[in-house]
Formats: sequence, C-alpha cells, structure tokens
Amino acid sequence: MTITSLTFIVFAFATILAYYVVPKKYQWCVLLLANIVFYAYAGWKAACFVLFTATSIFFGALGMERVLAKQKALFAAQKETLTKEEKKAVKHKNQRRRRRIMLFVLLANVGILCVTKYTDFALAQVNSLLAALGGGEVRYELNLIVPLGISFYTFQSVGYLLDVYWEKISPQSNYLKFLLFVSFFPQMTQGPISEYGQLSRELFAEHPFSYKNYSYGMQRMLWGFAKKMLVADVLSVYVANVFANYERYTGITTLLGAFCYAVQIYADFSGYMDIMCGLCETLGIRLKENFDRPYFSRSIAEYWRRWHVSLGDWFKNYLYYPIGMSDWSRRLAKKTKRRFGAHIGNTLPATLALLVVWTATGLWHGASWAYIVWGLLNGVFIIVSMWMEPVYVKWKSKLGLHDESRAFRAFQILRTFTLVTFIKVLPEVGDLRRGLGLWKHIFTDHRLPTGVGQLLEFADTGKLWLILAAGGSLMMLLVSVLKSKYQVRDLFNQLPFAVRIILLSCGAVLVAAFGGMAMYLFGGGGFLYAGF
Amino acid sequence: MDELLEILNDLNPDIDYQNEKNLIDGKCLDSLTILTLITEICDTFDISIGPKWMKNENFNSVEAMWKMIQTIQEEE
Amino acid sequence: MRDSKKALLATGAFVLLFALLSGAFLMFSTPFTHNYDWHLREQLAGKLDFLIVGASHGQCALNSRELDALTGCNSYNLCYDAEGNYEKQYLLREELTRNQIKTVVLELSYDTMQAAGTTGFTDSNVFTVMRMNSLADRMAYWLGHVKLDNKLYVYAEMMYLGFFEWRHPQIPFDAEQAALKGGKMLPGQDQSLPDEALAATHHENWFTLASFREETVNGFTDLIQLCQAHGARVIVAVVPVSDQCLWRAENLDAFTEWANAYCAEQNVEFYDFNLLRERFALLSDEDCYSTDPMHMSEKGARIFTEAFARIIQAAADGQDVSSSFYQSYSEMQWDSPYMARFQAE
Repeated sequence: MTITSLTFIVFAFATILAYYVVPKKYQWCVLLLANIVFYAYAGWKAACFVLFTATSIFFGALGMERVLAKQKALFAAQKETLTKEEKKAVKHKNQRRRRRIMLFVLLANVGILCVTKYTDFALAQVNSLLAALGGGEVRYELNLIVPLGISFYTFQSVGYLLDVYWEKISPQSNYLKFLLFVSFFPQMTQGPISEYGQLSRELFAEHPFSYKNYSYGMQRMLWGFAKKMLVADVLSVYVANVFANYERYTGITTLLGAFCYAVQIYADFSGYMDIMCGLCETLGIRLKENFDRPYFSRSIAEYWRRWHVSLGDWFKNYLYYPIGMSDWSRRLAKKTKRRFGAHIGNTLPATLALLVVWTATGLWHGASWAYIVWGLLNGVFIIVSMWMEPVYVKWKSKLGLHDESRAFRAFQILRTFTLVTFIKVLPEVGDLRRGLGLWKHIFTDHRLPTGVGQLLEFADTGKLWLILAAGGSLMMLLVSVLKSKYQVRDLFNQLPFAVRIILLSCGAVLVAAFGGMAMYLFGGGGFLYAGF
Repeated sequence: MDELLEILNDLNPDIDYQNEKNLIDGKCLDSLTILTLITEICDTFDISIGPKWMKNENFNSVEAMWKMIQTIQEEE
Repeated sequence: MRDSKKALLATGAFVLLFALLSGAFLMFSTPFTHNYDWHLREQLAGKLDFLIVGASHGQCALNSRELDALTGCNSYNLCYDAEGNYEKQYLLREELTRNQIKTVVLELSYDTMQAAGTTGFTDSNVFTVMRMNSLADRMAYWLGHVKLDNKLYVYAEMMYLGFFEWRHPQIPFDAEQAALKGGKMLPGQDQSLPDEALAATHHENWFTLASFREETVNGFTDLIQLCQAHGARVIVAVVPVSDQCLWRAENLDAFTEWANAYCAEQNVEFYDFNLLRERFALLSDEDCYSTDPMHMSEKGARIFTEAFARIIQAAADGQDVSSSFYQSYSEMQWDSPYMARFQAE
C-alpha cells in the first residue's frame, strides 16, 4: 500500500474509527486487523516470513521462560536441601539450555535476513575471488523475495528475544498480542525499531479518545506528507541528475547537489516518521522518536544520537554494550590501563566494539562495499574523536575556544553537516568508485558557475517545483530552529481555531495538488528507507 | 556509595550526582562513559554486571546504581 | 463540548474548506484547455453517426473530416493520448446516448493490451476530466468513476492544470482543430535511424500474450457490448504502425491469432491494418509517420483514412475484403522494404 495515496488515508481513517468504536479492551485487536490488511497489500508470500519470525521467537521466548520457571519451582521446593554449589550447577545447566534455545531461534531469523539480503553480495564476492584465483564462477539465479521491512521487524523481534534471554522482561504469553508487536504496520517499512517493554505498554493499554491526540496527530501527518511529497520527491530529481552526471557539473554545483541529497533523505525519512507517528498519536500510541534535529549536531557521535535513533539504540543495546561489557573486553581494559593509562585502557575496548557496530550498521543499510565503507567511515570519525578528546581539550584551552560560544557552535554544526553529507553520498551515487569520484570532482573541479542558472542547472523541473522544494526546505529549517526553544505544535495550536483550519486546509490542498503531481511527474511514492 | 561517587566524578566531574536523577534519560552520560563506568564498578566492587542489569532505571541516579550493586552482590 | 464532537466538527470544517479551495481551482479551469472538445461535441450532439474510440494511435491515424467526405457520415474522433478503457467507456456512453450512432470503430493495438510498459495506460487520467464542462460533472466523475488508487493522481492533475489556467489559458479554441472533430494531426518525421542502427533492431521486441492484462481485455469487451447494446456496427481496427515498429516486433502472429478468435467470439468485425497489402506502397516511414514511429503524421492520416474508408465501405456492401490483407505477419514481413534493404534471413 503506497503511504502517499488516498487508499492509505482511507485505511487510516477506517482504522481510527474502528479503534474508538470498539470496546477499549479490543482496541489492540483492531490494530492486529489493520496489520493484516496492510500486509495483504504487500502480498501473502512476504507475510509468511513475518509469521515465521513471530512464531519462532514467541515459542523460543516461552521455552526459555519455562526453563527458568522450572528452576524457580525446584529451588522453592528444595530450598532447605540444595547446597549453594548444587544451585549454581543447576543454574549453569539451565543457562546453557536457555542459550541453546536463544541461539537456535536467533540464528534462524538472522539467517533468513542474511539469505534474503546478502546472498547476491556474498556470491558476487565469491565470484570475484574465484576470478582473481584464475577462473571458475558460481552461477546463480535467485529470485528471492525480500519481505517488506525485514530488517526492521527482525531486529525488533531479536531485541525482544535477547531481552527475554537476559531476563530484562517477561515474555508475552498471548500469541496474537505478540504478533501485533512484531507486525505493527506503522513500523513495518521504516521503523522505528521499538523495545518490547516500551511498545507493548502503548499497544495493549486502553486509549480513550482525546481531541488533542487526534488533532495533533492529524497535523503531524499532514506535515509528514508535505515533507515527503513537496520536498523529498522534488529534490530526488535534482539529486538523481547530479549523481548520474556529476562529471558535467561544476564542483560547486555537485556540492550543492550533495547538500540537496542530505535534505532529501531527511525529508523522506523523517516525513515517513511524522506520518506514522502522527497516525499513532491519533490512536493515543506514542512511537519512539527517530529524529532529534540531527543536522544541528556538533559531532558525528552526536549526529548518530539524533539520526535514526532507534537503530542506534538497538546496536548500542544489543551489540555495543554486550561486546564492551564482555569478560574479554574487561580483561583487555584492565591490562591496557595498567600499561598505558586510563584513557587508552577505557577507549580501546570501546574502539573494538565500535568497529563491529559500524561494520554491522553499514551492512544493515546495504549489501555492498560502498555501504560497508560508509559504516566504517562513520565509525572511524567517532573513534578518532574519542581518542583525540584529551588533545582537543588542550587545543581549545590554548586557543581560548569555549564550547558554548555561538561562533564555535556554529562552526561545529556546519562542519558536522558537511562531513555527514559527504559520508552520506558515498554509497548513493552508484558504487564505491563513483562515490569516490564524486568526492574527487567536488575538490578538483574549480570552475565557477557563470551564474545562478548554471549553479542550479541540475534543477531542471521548472521554476514552480524549485520554489516549492526550496520553500519547503526553508520551512523545515525554520521549524527545526524553533524546536530548540519552543514546543512548536503547542505554539501552532494556540492560534484561533478558524485560523488553524484555514492554514491546514490550504496546506492540505498544496500537498494533495502539488505533492500529488510531484509524485506523478517525478516517480515518487516509494520511501528511500523502505528497501531495508 | 563514596567509592561510586569517586568513580563518577573521575569520569565526569561537571555533573551534580547528588541531585541528578536522569543521568541516562537526560543524556548526561554518553555510551563510552557508561561502558567505562560499568568496567570501573565491576573492578572496584568485584561484581559482574550482566546485560540483565542494563536498564536506564538502574543507572539514572547514584542511588539506583548503588541499589543495583548491592543486589548483585547479594545474588553473587 | 465532548472530544469526539470537537473532532467531528474540526474534521468536517477541514474537509469543507478543502473542497471549497479545490473547487475554486477546478471551476476556473473549466472553460479552458481540452474543454473545447466538450463544446464541439455539444454543438454536434444529435448529429453524429460515426465514432472512433481509442488512444493515441487512433487519434493520429484517422481524420474525421476526410472520413466524412469519403463516406458521407458525420464522424467524431474521440481518441486521446493514453486513454484507458474507463475513459473510453465514459465518453462512448455519453455520445451513444445523445446520438444515433450507426458505426463505432474501436482502435486496438498489441501494446494497449499489455501491462503498463511504455504506454502507461492508467485507468483514469485527467484528459477525460478536462473534456467535461462543469464542476459538477467533474466531481461526479472523480467521486463515482475514478478508482480509489487513482483518485489522488487525477485530483492532483486537475488541480495542477487548474493552477496554470489561473495564469493564462493553455490551449485556445482553434477553428482548424475544431474542423477536425477530434483527433490530432502531427507533423512528419525529420530524421530516421542510420542503416546499421535500424538493422540491429530486427525482432528485438518479443510480443507475448502473457503480458495481456485481463482487466484491460475485460474493459475492451465492455466497450464492444456497450456499442452492441445501442445497435451500432462495431469495427475493431488496428491502425498501422510504421515499418520500423514492425521490423522490431517479433511473434505478432500470436496477437493476430488471439484478436481473430476474440473478435469472432464477440461477433464483431476485425481488421488489422498493419497487414493491409497496400501498406508498403501507401505508407512510407519517411512521409507518413511522425518523429515517433508509432504515430502517423497528418499526411499519413489522410492516406490511411482513404484506405480505411474504402475497406469498411466494401465490407459494409457485403464484399469479401480478406484478399486486401496478408494472412499473417510472417507472410507480410517478406514484403517489408527493410527485408530487401538488409537482406535478412
């Protein structure tokens, strides 16, 4: 189901209506039904994958819980007779059993993800290696379905499995409720990746109708549609022109095209989030926020705490901390601290954990060397910052730079935005070679555009669309700036009702008419992150 | 508790640990600091903090951390 | 006030304002652009007896004015670019209802029957909407006729054109165009492919029935049945594409076989003018086709309309016209000028 379509709007309204008409204790059933309808549009074959994940993890979690429950019952029954060592032995044995269950289910689901997403890439590497060794080729013709949102729901479900394994949460005993958690339709195509504890509280609670939730949610949905249809879809044409033909354009124009990409992808991804978070808000459900004014970050590390927050949190909780807190990591930290001091001792294990995390992050985004390099680049910047922190502190003190001075903050924001943009475009231009070629072109082509016309020659859609995209981008910037000081939505809702309705209707006409036309003319409709 | 405060002040002396109750939710401590903190706590108090304890509520305040340390010590 | 009542009020106010704002654009776009077609048909209402229905091939290939002179009928070419069966049905119904139509030509081609591909036959588009005269008609069409999946696109295009109409009318009323009575006359082509490039394109497009959309076939059947219900003679015709297109296509006999069987089943006349024996003599690529090799130029349309009129009149008089046609594309290809030129096997 295309999100930017009347079909989705009708579906959303039908869901909202049904949600508040049924008795509150059945509201979660309405959501499950909505999931089924949503997935029906995607195709039943893809739905089988979701069912497999939901079923295997549901029973895996219950299996682990049963082992723990039996252990508790045994300890309670034989409290007086069991010695400490015997208890330890039983715990150890059960822990191994639970680990076996967890690993089996984990590998099955991650395996499916890897096979559907990475088989082509893996086989291509094998063929390259065979070619380098002098011949041979693995021929293959795989028509694997890549189920809708597989990266998102697999990560979300695996997070749940690990939380149960680590005894952070108790497993859900109602299969249909668990299926709802795994397949919750607002999250299916682009996340956010939620933790079970937080999302389940929202999904299974009873939500009375609230005018504030309804109006705020609807306003947010409109804002999301505007970002996607008026900004992202139009900019996509300009960006495609630049990426396909950067050799034709001047270095400055190419750089401008790269910045357009940064705006496009933010408008696209955050626009989707606004639509889905807005819809959930009308239902009284709070989804995890995925963006927090990311382009105002002052460092790459901060950027990744503000961009695609749920993915960063997932990798932090399920990869970074487990690696960093492992026994071997702590032993390494201890040894290194003794020899080289506290800074190196603390930073080295974190460095190794970050290298793993960022390689995985790159692969998650795409099965290609370009994405792996992209991930590692991000990781390297963060790691270098960590190592250089004491040096930066000294430099700043010597140069008299204050962290909170406006000029320094502005410098950090612009620097980070430029760095992030450069890194972002690398895997998007086509392949690694072209990505590096684009970088080189920006730095080595010193031609100055002869005028605004040449500067903007990639914007070949006509003045109307250029004005809409630029205007939309400026609106987004204004809202982001205001958000640092104010609750923008509260500000808007302080306006008189008549003014609000007029502004919203005009906005909706603009979005439906021109946004709808942009989708048709420029081939929009799909979301960039929906392929993951 | 004093040893814990000493560890925290070594890591980041700019935070008022006595009054701050949102160390994690308020993003006062970044992930590198948290990792270092956990390593120091494990070494100092001779405990093992497993993933089971990695919840925001266990690290949001000094009191919460201290309670967690004591619970782990009892279990071990 | 209760929250739910507030929400209903706010939603109602929003929808009303949205409709009023939209209506303002659409009202202003009513008299302009393709709407002259509506005016023409209004003027001719009750007088027409011959209709041509189809998409761009038919729009360019049949000249109503010429047809009238040759056959004595009063014809109108309802064809339009990328017109889907829904739109064809809408316009056909309108004209069948207010005229005594004796003959309807339904233009058919192998590419219109296939899945999306290059022709992009969406089921609803703005061209038909623009050929309506009143806001009420357009709203009724959008609400009652356009599928849910296409509503946003049709709305957007209506509004987009309406927005530009605010600034100035897009296509003024043209007496010359009006005299044509529908249809579109294109200039001839001013370039052709060099020999090597052309030779290389031989049989590069494999035609397959598997790509036919059932929905499109059903829609076409609905058109036939609509015409038959009004007692009109139905002629299903394939207007000829250029030699270049046929040189590229392969396996078109599968199409002919299907079309012959389909039309026999529907009890309608079928003529594939691609297979007209005179085509190589009458219609050369250089003179009779536009820069787009699928569509005839004005000159080609005049020549073809004459041949077309001759064939259908002979058929109407009871003559057997089958000898005027090749039996198959396999037979026809040997007489293609390109075959001799490239001496292909």
